[in-house]
Amino acid sequence: MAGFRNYREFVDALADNGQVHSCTFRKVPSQTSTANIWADLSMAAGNPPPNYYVGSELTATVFEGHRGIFHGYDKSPANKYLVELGLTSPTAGFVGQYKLMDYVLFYPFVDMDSADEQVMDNTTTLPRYTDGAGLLVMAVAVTPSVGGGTFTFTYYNQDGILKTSPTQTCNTAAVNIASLITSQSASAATPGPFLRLADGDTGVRSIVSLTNVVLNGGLIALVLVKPLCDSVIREINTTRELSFPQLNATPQRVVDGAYLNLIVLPAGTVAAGLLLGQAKFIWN
Amino acid sequence: MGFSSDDDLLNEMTTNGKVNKQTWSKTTAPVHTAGGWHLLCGLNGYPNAGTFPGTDLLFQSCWETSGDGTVVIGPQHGGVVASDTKHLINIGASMVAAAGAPWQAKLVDLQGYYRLSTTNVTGTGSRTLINSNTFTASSSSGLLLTYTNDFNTFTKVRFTTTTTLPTGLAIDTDYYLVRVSSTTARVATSLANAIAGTVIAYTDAGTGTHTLRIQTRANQGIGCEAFFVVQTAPTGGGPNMTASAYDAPGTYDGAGTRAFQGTPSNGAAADAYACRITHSGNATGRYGPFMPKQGADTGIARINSFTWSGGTAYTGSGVIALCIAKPIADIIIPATGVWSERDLRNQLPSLPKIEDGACLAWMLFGVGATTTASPFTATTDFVWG
Repeated sequence: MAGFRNYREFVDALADNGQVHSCTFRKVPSQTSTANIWADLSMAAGNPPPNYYVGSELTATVFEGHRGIFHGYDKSPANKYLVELGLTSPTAGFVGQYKLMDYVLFYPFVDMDSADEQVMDNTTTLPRYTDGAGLLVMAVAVTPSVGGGTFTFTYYNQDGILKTSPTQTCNTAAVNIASLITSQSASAATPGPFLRLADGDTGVRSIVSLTNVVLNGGLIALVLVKPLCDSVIREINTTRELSFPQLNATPQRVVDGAYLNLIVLPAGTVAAGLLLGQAKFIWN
Repeated sequence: MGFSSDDDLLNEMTTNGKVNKQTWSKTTAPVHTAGGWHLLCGLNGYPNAGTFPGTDLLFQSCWETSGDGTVVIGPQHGGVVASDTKHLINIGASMVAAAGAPWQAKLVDLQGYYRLSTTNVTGTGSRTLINSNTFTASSSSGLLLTYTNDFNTFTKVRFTTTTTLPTGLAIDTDYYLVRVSSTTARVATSLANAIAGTVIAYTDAGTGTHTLRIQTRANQGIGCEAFFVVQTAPTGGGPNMTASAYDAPGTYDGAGTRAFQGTPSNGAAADAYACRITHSGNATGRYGPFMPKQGADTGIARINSFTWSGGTAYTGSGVIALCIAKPIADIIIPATGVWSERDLRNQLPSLPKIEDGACLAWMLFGVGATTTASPFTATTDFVWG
């Protein structure tokens, strides 16, 4: 049976059996971000290499797992888990909250200057979490936005039922590339890093279309993500380490093929800043 | 072996004095480029700097007491303690550098390396690595093996034969070579015996063709990883690994049925200076300190071959080592002049085991470009029981 039945198996995997993979990642963003607006570090330079949400317009596109934070190749039939996550930065802008996520699928080049309904091509379906349960949507600027827009989108939820989202309110401020356009903390109306779903929905299987109500400007990527764990950097030059399960809750499962990366709610711009991360995974 | 309780641990440390503390000091050189991993055992300081000597393509095992066969490159952490087991209980580290922070340091047990020079660095064909030799047996103050290549003393081996092994040797059993010359060695049944010079007596030479095959210090290579590190910088280039073969734990025949994944790319001249791990960095194909293993492989027992035929071949007269090492523990150094400590009694990995004979070395990752001539210092506390 995959997983760990007891601590003995856990420690054996970690210390004696070689069922462990560790990695280091480094992010040096070139994009200017804004305090208290979430930013997508997958688009930042460094290692892993930056992701630019390149694909055919409005067409569901999957990520290549080994181009994200590298967690090793497939371990099936074993299950793999995140057991350590460390973050450190000498840059004041990098102080803030972090979410480590599995980026599953994205729709590139959604035009936030178009008043027409933009219909997505879903020929490519979810490569994992195939029913969509637990998958959330974030809207990432791939060109600078103007701000002040609103939009809705239609989607199939975790049960395969077509739904229309509540109206999403974008940041009032213009944001740069890699910022999440609905995550301005100072605005009560913005939903945060993830778009609001219809009441009761717990995930998104696919996005059918997006319609701007008030134009926000720029281009975005709509990204389906599975949040795995949260962390923080409390102050510069101070490492925050998460260790599962001693200091935190359940070790988070990382499925084969997962594309891992981070979003951050920064204290300021992270442009030209430095972020050091380390992660450890074990499997059984 | 090990500790039955915290009381037992305390008793071994205090009453029995089974502790050892080692202080390390290395000075970085040249400038470490941002985002790169480095192996520090080639740097000046304490312990001694190593140069990856030996025969090209041949596995050169590394040991606590004999180092790389030429220089003792790791700390002396207490010698062989069998039937006890030795464990790491605390580590601490700091860097003092004008630039480069933060850093991550990783302690590894360097099992050994394959030295590469001249056309083995610049070539684009498959490099076949040497993990085994046929041998004959004779009598010279004990059972004396004669073979082709120059294996380091204490190299851990197993034997096979087409007919009957010399008396005293058995298949599927670990032995240790006690080097006599570049082509001969005696055989010991344990590392402690090898260090003491207690070798197997000669009875007969056996019959048939006999083969010795190297083993990593870590049982079957479990937990081991592989990486390329520069000793002497090549002039230019930056090749990709397009093919490879290695033995995963549990395979003894040297067939090399597994392959590194993801076409790791090696750095060009700017990222291929002394002590730099060539496939770390910030580009596609730079997977960090270690080459990606296949599937759910839990280690590397031997590396059989590799091919650098993609990208741009290295030029010049560089020296690179293809290393096998077992990671032990990590520690982050968040800023210059900050002493970081990790308590390995109360944090995972809890009390990581240090194999008898382990040749320990530090690896260092710098988020920024680290100023040259910056001191890296560390301490490691060991306990056994």
